[in-house]
Amino acid sequence: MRFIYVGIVYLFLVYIMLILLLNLKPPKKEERPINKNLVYYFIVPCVNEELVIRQTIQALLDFNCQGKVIAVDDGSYDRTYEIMQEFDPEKCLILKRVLPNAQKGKGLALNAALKLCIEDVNSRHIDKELVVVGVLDADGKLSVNSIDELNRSFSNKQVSAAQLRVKMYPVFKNTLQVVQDFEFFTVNNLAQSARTKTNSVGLSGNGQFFRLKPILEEIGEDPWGDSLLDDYELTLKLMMANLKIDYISKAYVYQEALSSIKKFIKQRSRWVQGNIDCLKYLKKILPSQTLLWTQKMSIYYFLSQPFLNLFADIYIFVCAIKLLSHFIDSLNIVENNLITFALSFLFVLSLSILIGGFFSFIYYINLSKHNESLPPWSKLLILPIAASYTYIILFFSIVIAFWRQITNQRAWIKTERN
Amino acid sequence: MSSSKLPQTGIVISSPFILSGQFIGVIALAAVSALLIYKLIEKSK
Repeated sequence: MRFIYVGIVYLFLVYIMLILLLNLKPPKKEERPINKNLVYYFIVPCVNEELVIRQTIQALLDFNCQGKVIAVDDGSYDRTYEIMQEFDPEKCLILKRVLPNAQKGKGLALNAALKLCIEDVNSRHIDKELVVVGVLDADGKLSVNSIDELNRSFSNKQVSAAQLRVKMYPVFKNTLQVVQDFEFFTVNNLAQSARTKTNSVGLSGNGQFFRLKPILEEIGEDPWGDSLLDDYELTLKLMMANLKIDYISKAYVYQEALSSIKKFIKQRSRWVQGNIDCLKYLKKILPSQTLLWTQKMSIYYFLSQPFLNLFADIYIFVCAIKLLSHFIDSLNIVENNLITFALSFLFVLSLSILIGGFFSFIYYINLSKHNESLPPWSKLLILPIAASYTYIILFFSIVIAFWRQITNQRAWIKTERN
Repeated sequence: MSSSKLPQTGIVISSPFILSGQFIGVIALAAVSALLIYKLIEKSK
């Protein structure tokens, strides 16, 4: 047990250090003319989004792109569809899916929306090379410079897809929301920036964009699969088709951070199960001659996460119980054990503050650099500890995900808004 | 996209393993490995 745990610790350390090393050198600046003739189609999948959908569609239309918004009502029973109809049908196309065909997964809804997009592109006789399709959550909002940065990225003809940086709305009711913002805006940004150097950038559910032509030619009209992690599934398909995915860190998409631990565990369980689900691609990845070794390493590391985390978590819990019972047993014999125990506890705590504090400091710098609101200081100060020990909450997500996978439970209700 | 994007430092430091001398050895080994992989990535670009 201990030997495997040490191996996992080694792997995690290598990964963290590698990400930091790959971020030391800034990316090469390639000057090229910016193509401002790109046509953007924003797909917004919705189920019961009456509270947020109006602002989201309006904000997208305010960009005044040549493209359109495709709002997908995937079987809502609230006023989502009525609100979608308030917009000019020339600028906002509506796709209404009704039960029992609706709510069969985000991937299927996105594929249906893409067909509507292709029809519209064909009817307008637009060159598909110029068409960029994006996916935005119903609560998503693009930063003002997003289209400029997307134009810059897609001006490179080698780029077939791009992922925007993700940021939580700066509404921090509790520390869990700060942890999520820190996780996406800083840690994930470091990982994705490192992945640009290993050609292994991953697409997220929110803020993913792709050029229509190469996707239709290499992947087909149904690029999204039925996996619970449709975004990573698409990432794998793009990588295997040798299509380049870029990462944009200067512009970002805002989304809502979950405020309840229960919803957080549920959301992460779905992600973990989706992660396990993607193992079905291993038989294509292993013999692939198209994938680079760096891409394969990144995929293997990603796919192994649920297993490594589950093992490490169980090992830690077993050790903690053993240590505690040993301490209680020996407390009566040697009084000095109390001091040893307290010192060990302080050592672990200071190490958490040191490492968590390092990443939290980068988060603070990131927010300041982008003129973003800082969370309250009380929450910012406990971030190093909270970020270090979120894995204890996530342990439940992993267990639920494995249980659902083993018992073949695949139906998931989307994450509810706060 | 993944279950957690946190740096997983909590898992690294939560076990009593870090109180053993081996932990320093593992850190050193990880640092050397990361540096070697980094060099390989730079070379293969």
